[in-house]
Amino acid sequence: DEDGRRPHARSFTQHKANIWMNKEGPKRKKNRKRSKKRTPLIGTCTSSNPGEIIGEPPQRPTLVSSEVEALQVESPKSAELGNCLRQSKVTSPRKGPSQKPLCNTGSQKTEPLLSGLHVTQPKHTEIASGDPSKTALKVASSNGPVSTLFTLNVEQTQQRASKIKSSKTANTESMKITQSKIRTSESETQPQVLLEGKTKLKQVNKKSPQKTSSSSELNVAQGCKLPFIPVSELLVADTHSSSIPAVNVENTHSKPNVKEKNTSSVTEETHMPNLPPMQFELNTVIMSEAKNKLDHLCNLLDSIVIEHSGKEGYSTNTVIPVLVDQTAKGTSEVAVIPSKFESLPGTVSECQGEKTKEDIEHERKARKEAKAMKKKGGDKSKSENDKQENFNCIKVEKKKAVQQGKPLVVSAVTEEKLPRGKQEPSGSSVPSQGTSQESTTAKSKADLKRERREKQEAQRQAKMIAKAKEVEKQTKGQEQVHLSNDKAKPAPKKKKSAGEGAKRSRDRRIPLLGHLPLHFSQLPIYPVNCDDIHPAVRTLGLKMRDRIVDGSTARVVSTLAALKRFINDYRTPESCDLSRDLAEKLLPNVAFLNACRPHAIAMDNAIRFLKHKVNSIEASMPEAQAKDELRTAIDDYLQENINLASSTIASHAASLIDDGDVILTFGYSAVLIEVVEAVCKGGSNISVVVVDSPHPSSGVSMVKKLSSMSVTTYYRLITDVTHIMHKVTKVVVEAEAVMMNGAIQGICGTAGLALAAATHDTPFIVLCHTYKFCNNDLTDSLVINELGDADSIVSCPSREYFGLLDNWRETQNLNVVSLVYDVTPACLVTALVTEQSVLPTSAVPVIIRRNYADILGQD
Amino acid sequence: MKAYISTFLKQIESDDDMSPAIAAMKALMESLRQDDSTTLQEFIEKMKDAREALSDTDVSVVSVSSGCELFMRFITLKHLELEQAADFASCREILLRRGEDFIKSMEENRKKILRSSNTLIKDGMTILTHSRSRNVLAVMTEAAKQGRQFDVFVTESQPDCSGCRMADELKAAGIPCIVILDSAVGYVMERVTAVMLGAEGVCENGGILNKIGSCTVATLAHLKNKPVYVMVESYKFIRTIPLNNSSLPKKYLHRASVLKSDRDLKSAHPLVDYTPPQNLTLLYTDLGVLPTSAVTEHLIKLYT
Repeated sequence: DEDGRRPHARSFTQHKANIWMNKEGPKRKKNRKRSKKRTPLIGTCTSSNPGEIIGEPPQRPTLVSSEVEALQVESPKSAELGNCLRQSKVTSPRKGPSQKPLCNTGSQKTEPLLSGLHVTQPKHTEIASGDPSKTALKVASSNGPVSTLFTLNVEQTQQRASKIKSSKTANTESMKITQSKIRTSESETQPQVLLEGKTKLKQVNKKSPQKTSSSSELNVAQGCKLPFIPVSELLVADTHSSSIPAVNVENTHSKPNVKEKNTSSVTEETHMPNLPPMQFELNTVIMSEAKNKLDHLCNLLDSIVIEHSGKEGYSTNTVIPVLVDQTAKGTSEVAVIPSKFESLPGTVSECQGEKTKEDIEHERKARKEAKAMKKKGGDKSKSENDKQENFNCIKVEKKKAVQQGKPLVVSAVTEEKLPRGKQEPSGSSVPSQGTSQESTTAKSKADLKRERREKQEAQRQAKMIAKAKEVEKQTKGQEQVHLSNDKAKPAPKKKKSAGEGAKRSRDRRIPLLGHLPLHFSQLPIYPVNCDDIHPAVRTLGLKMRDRIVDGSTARVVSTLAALKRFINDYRTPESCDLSRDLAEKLLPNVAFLNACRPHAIAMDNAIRFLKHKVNSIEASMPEAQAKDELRTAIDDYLQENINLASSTIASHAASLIDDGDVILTFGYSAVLIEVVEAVCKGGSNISVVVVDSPHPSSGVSMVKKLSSMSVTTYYRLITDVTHIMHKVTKVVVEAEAVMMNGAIQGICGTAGLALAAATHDTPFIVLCHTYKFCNNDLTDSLVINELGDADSIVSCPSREYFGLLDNWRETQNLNVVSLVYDVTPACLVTALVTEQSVLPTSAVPVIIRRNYADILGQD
Repeated sequence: MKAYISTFLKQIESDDDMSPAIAAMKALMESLRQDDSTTLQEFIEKMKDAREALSDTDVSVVSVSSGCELFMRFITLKHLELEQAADFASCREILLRRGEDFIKSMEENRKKILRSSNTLIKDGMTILTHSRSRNVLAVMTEAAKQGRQFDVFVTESQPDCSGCRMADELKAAGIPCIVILDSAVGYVMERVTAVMLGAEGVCENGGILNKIGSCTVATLAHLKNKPVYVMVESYKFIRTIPLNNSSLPKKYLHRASVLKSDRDLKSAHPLVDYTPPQNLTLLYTDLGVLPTSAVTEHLIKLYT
């Protein structure tokens, strides 16, 4: 049950976390520090990456240690860090190779996950150095596939932690802090998965790593010993659980120690990747042999990661998929990375011992093989998903053409490359940091440490004050911000723009809405050859992204239909539970849909229902029967909750409408058409005013349908609704979702309509299927919402103003927001028409409790 | 006219303290006793007819229909048990037994309301009430019996001047009261500490249907931030949500005799109005003291 409701709850907590983090100035700093600390470790493990360290192998140890402790700049190399662009380079190559150890034990399939994981890391660093709203970016991005990664991470971290503990270091206490933190984050987000993960982990551990490649990729990744990842993951986990500043402070102090411990324990266990500074020289000698090759490799990785980091600017969720995609495509450059993954089965032994020349040679060989394999794989994938890809390309092209600022993109070999390249300079927000670091180069480590801490403290305080002021301002003008984002925005924005203007212009994160995933003009490209995602789901995802399938009901129907096809084609692997495996395989599909367009609440409910059904299938049930059961369950769900319910709602609503009524409605609503039909059938003569918003002008089709039924119809824009409201006798709209507190989530504009209706004392009737009821409380439309295409609202069709705002992204203090939903408070709703009966909004919790107790879980 | 209807009307006339809903239930019991149907289905059909006949009399339709519906629902609840009965005779036994129980418990309701509103009236209060409500009268008399000192304003409550009757009864109980004009509600409102109303029916959203003028009183009280308490039995809960006053069904607004005559309803005075829940503070019922939003939960519990 918990599993069933988890996705939603998780996203919600994340939203909350976002908001929290937005408010928390000092936190961010911590993140930054950590993220930087992370890099050296990764660097050490790869050590062979010459990208940034060219020519200075002997200085590396010092560099690393300094970085580990406090990231100041002693070595000339680290001076380079001052440049953010460089920095991203620095981190990126390290990260690339750093996947090696993981992959050695894992199977090929871990690759997408792991690579995704790594891609998120540069993001974190950026976030940390960026403005507060950007922290949200990361969390928001972890909504989809990343969230799974997160579990994985936490798991790993725990392992790690236990290892460290076992190594009997004095710093167990600090470790405990981190552990407890991790645990809190676990318990908040996904306790059950963790449990599952653990159990699976045990299973996997029993098997030999080579064999595990068959079924559960994720598990393999967990099962393999991940010596260095844990530390970096610790950091990730920290960012999540960072809501406790006090703890964080301790944590930062303890960090260096922990790391030392890590290194020692690592040597003991001969997992090697994060080599301690002491051993570094030895390593560099060894690595120098592989250097030439790795040079090339790292350069390539540089470019890739830079591209990706640049990409965040406009699509957060896409980041993971993209990298995966690249690797999967097997473009000549990228193929190098995967090679390491693929060498796993053969080279598992490698990780067990110190790296020797033999090992390296071994590795090289394996890599070559892998390259060859990759090429093959890439070809295959291409042929398989040729059509899909073409489609993607076309879509991407189209969208990009629309989106100014990236017109060249399409001409590039891969779609993503250019925009990313373009955004390279975006990283330049860090220079100030860099210079400050340089100024301190002469000082000793300890001094630096202390100084830095002081500086941080001061900065934190300054930020706190600034934040407090800002919050004050925001609360003052909250109402305004709420209603007219554009007006209220400049106030908070100016403050931030002082420091990070350049970054913001690229990012276009909107204050207060930073937690919402940005509108995707680009497809979240999952690996084309990835079998995780069923073609039907893929097609649907594209359709939803392009708003071909729009409206919550349509989306629910098509989602369930697609998932039904997925279940149809599903085969249970041997030695696997259907319910368990299917639930797991369902996740990437659902995540894909979410990445294409954030789920509507109704979709979440439907998917939760399906998951619940899947989970409740008994292990003893034969596959055919189980699948049959699921299919009929889906059919029943659609029939009961949508088809039958719609007609019942129509008859209920028709009873509320009298002869001669003037009905006002908003946008397109299939149920409302049924209502009007029912009313007309009853012999009443009514007229309908269709109010429409200009952007998705769905009301046009509504008008067409109504006039074909020979109903007197008026068409208005929502801007002049007050003109006609006094003539209207009833306002009838359809809800996207109904919250536990009776608030109505509707298409943006509904709340305004409700206010207008209340002003004129016109009854405001809401039509809603009960499956759209949601056990969340919403009081404003900021917490749960979706960002629409902001470009669509600035593209003014009139000649006079055409294209005036096309380059709004470059304007410093201008934010263009297009929200998809808004929330109407319960007190503005006169009656809620559901298939059960006509209800007041206060009945919502009762209905939720009664109808969905089994799905919604214990809480 | 059927026997049970005449007993119903007689009962209403003779026992002034009896709510028409209870009287209707008793009439239904009467018809149940005299019933000669041979199957359960037939019986239910007949009872439906009886209910309609009862609502067709010149009484408060709202509470009668809701009371009858609840009564029927209660006695025919758990069809299984009824189906297992050997023949309809034993079936009728069950129904009769249940009916008796139900009516007995319904008659207890007023005592429960008294208990829940025990501390409502305090010394020195000035209470405004509208029309005549048995529950309000009982609560006030009870408070006076306990020695509390308070003043009451009673509206005259046209067209039937039921307020004057109320005032007489209050005076008989030793409660100082003043009858005011219906149009003087706004004038006295600032001197009032609380408004107490009865109700003919409680809608699903917590709004009430009551004697015409209640909406005025409650709205004015709301405007002046005076609490509005409603004393009502739970059998008056009805499963409808009026969107506004103009969407009230005609059978609630007018007496059956008026509806049957060919009079122009536009010029006929409605007898009932709808007070939206926003204007009410609390409902004192036999289920306890409820906020308006809790009504729907009880209704859903009762009817599903």
